[in-house]
Amino acid sequence: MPTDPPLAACTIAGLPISAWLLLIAAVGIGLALEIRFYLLHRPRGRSGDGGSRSVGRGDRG
Amino acid sequence: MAETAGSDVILGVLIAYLAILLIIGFWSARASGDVKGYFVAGKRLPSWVIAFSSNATGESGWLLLGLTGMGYLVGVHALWVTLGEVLGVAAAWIWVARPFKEYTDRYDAITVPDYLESRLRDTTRVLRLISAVIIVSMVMAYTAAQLTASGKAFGSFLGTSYTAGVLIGAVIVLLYTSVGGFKAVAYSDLVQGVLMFGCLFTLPIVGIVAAGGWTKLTETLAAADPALLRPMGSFGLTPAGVASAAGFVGIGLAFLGSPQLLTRFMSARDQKEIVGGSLLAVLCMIVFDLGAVMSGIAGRALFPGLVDPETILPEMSAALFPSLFTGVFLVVVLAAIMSTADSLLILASSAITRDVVQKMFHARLSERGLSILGKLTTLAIGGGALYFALIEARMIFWFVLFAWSGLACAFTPVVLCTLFWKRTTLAGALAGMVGGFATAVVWILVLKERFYGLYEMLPGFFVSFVLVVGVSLITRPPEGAAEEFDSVRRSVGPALTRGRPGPAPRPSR
Repeated sequence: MPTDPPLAACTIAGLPISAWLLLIAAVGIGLALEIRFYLLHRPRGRSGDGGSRSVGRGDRG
Repeated sequence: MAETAGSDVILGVLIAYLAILLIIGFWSARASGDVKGYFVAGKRLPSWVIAFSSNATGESGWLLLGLTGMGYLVGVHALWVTLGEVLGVAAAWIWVARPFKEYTDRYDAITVPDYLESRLRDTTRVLRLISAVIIVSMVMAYTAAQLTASGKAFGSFLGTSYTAGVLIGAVIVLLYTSVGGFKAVAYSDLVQGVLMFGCLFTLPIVGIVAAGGWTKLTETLAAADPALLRPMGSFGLTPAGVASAAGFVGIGLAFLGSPQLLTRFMSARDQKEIVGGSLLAVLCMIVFDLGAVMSGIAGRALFPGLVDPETILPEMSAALFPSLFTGVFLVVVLAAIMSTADSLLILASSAITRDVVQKMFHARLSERGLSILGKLTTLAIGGGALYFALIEARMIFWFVLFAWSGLACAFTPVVLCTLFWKRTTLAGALAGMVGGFATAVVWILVLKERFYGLYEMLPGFFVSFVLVVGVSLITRPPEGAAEEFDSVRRSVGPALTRGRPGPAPRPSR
């Protein structure tokens, strides 16, 4: 079965490097932003630093 | 005999699932006695419920059948959808959710038109009317399409008739939605979202193992078609390839402002629940989308000759799992369908009951009366969708094409501008809403094929933004809106940098 030499030369575990980059970007960019947001705004007491205080508006009854 | 036993197991799992939905519906009934309870669950929902509910709502049967089929058809190229949706969900929770929640709490808004009317000081009610028309027409068609998918899912898994499948799906959804309102919708979405999560976490792993492991899988796909492993697919780096990738990424834009998703943020107990739900929502979306694409890719190696790629999930579930799990997969497909249909029904019901009857016509009904009207409206809209699904009206096909993108193009740019630009005016919002929606429709009907099949969300958003900004710049901003905007920004604080929000403000209305 003929193979694609450039593909075979630039693969990791059978997948081209470009595909790995897309996979990492697809998962990583949004997740990284989200983790930063969460760490900055999670309720005090768990973060242990100033961060940002999320002000709840309390029970509306 | 084995086949009969297998069908019995599938039926048993299905009955158990439908019973759970009905129990949730009746459990939620007490909370739906007034209009706020019926449409936003009294704004008391915790983080995990809104996280799963928003993702389950945003991902319909299309996730389980369409995106898996896309992974089957184009391989790695389908990961552009994952990129767009994960970014879209993350951006919505990080930048949109908190200011939107802050505004809607100040206004005591329970619908998106409520919010827009208050934010833009629209005393003419025109914005509310146009919003209601767009919502009701698009929801009716989109719900009909979900019921159509229900009919086909029952047929694929159980061999039942199309009509029976549509009727079963419709009766269950209408029952728990009309009885339990938004609380039932949100908690059933939670159950359904967890099922979808479990399915899309498990299926790709089992599929890859069945295909001989990761390396064997990639070798099989490379031998079948090397383009399956390339990010730009068979298009390569061409205008068509870029248009395809951009269109896939653009699907995620809808998460930033579609009304059926914004309602989740409105219904959160408080800002803390939004922070708590955000990480869960993004993780959930990663599993949903990556799981669907990888399942399709594994399926391509296992079942290379499928005529209809959108049957890959039923094929894999039947071949790789015992009957009990096939029943679970049917339930997961139905879960994806119902979790979208129920949210759309509540959205359309609120557009009529709250936006038209209560706010435009000032009907003198008690809270209980409005709640009952909401339930009846839900049944009526669902009945209309059921009718169109049963007659398989061709128009459904056309409406569905622009239901998702039409709703997104009408509302998302307008909502984003009101949240992030104090200069947005009523005239600008009207122009953007109508222009965005019209662009999406015209693009699909006339222009799409001329521009490499570029997804209509992109030109629709572009035109809407241009109209909102352009018309707003030549018209007067609403009185007091700039000060209110600044107050909200101070209260919410920055999203990704260190800073403290201001003190909780006194309500402005």
